[in-house]
Amino acid sequence: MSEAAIPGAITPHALDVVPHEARRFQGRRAGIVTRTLANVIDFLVVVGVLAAGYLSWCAIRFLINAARFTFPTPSFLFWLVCYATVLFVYFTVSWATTGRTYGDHLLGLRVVNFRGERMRWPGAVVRAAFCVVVPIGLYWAVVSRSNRSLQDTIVRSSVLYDWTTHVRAPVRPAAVPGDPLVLPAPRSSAS
Amino acid sequence: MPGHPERMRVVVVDAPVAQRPADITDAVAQAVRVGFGLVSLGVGVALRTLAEAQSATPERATSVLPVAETADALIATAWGAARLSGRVAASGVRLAAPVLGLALRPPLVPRQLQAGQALDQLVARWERDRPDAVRTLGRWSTAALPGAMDAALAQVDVDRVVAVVLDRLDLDVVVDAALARIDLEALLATVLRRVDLDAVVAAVLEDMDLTAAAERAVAGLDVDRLIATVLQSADLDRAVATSLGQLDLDQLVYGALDRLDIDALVATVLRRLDVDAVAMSALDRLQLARVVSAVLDQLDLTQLVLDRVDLESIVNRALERLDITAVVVEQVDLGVVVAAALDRLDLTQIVLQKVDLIGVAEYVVEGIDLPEIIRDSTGSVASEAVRGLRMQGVDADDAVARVVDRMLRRRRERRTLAPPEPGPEPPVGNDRNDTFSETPS
Repeated sequence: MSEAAIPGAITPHALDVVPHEARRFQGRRAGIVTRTLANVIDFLVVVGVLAAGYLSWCAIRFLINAARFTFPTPSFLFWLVCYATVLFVYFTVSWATTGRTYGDHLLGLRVVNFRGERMRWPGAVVRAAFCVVVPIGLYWAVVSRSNRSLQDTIVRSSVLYDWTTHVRAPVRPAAVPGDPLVLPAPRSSAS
Repeated sequence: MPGHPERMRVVVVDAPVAQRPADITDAVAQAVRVGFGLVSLGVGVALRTLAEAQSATPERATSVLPVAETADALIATAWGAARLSGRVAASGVRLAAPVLGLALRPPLVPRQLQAGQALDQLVARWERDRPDAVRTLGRWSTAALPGAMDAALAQVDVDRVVAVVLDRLDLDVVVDAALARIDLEALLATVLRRVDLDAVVAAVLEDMDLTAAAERAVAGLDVDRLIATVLQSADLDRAVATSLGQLDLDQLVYGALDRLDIDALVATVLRRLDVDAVAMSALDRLQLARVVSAVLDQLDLTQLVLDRVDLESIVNRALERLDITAVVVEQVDLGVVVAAALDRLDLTQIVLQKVDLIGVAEYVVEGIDLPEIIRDSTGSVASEAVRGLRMQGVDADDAVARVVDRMLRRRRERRTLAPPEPGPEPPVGNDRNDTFSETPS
């Protein structure tokens, strides 16, 4: 909504709530340790979801026939398929909606596309599929000059340090070499 | 008084009429006294004259029989005889009065035949004719008196008489009495009305050598003292106002200008004057600072400027020519000014009184999007533990990257900058590993 400009009126600004010591790396691509920790947390989340599903299944079976109730013993393949499915859905929905999984949220990471924007659904689907199928591709970031994993390289995405909750605007290069771009740009209405 | 001759004449006619008829004996005695008084006065004058004449001839210093004592003896003898005869006459009159009354009005005689009646008629006729007789005497005296006075004054040393009179007179008392009786303003008005002042002034100016008179006057005057005295004592404002009110300045100035050949006069003056020398001399003699100071003391410059000067026009022109901002920036120590202003001001109090702090706070909160900040602060930095975990993760990232880069013998740092501004999609097939160029575009 456009409003009449008030002479001398200030334009709305967003204060950066990021701690001062953390502002120097905001917007930069994350390293392998942070991303691994985030993935571990996401793994635990998925394991928790599977456990909850398994318990729910058991409860349903118990309610249906308590006398003949036994714990189900699905095969490893079943668990693997379920794990991959849940992980795929979890990654896709997280990256396409908020740009971050729960692990990313805790570690202050965000996944963006090549424009620095939140990933679109196709991109999120492709990236989630690669992450599920080739999880080891994450460690390409160790040797990558730009801290990009195999999935990032394929879908041209990036995993950034972003301790804020909104989608971070693309960071411009620093005016002075070595001076990290920590101050956020004025927030646009789209953000 | 010269202004009321008619009234004075009436007073002279009516004054002698007495309210109570005087007795004939008293009148005779009074007349005798007056006669002796006149004789005594005349004898005194004569004796004084004779004494002066004798003082002029000192050779006859001694006198065997002094005239004064002789005269006093003769007058005293005559006075005694007169008193005796007066008493005898008075006694006779008192004795004869009843007889004379019977003779004038005898009883049993008709009134028309009485001698007193005839005498009354004569008296009545005289009373009727008396005013005419007095008027005739007045006319005669008016005609004859100047001649008589001239004749008398011709015989008298008037100057000496006047000197004697002035010696005897207390002039202060006389002048005070005269001023008390005279209506000076009316008299002055009459004089000014009757006198042709222009003619008088013109005649005086023609007769006088004004230059010489002025030189003599100036030479004899202590001008400074005179001016000081006049300035102290005179009400100059009132005098000038009165003079200006009475003078027809326009007529005076125009008349003078009509008579003057101003061009010739100015040309002559300029030809004869060394204007430069005059100006320099005047400037040398003038104490300009004192003069200007005195003029400024007399003037209300502020009011004068406000009344006479088009301040708006001047200010506008000055502002058009001046770059006030540049002047202030170059000439004014803004830091000192601001510091002095801040020292004098209680900014806190001013802000509390003048600023709608609640409105400002609402404006700021609206501007900084406080709800979003709260969401950020509560959503992203949940706790110190998470914050520490993140910081340690970042440090670990850097450490691992450094170790790996060292192992791979990389000399340049990693390019970890974020993607550029949203723009067109890069061309497909770009096999560069880092799509998001870190070099400034």
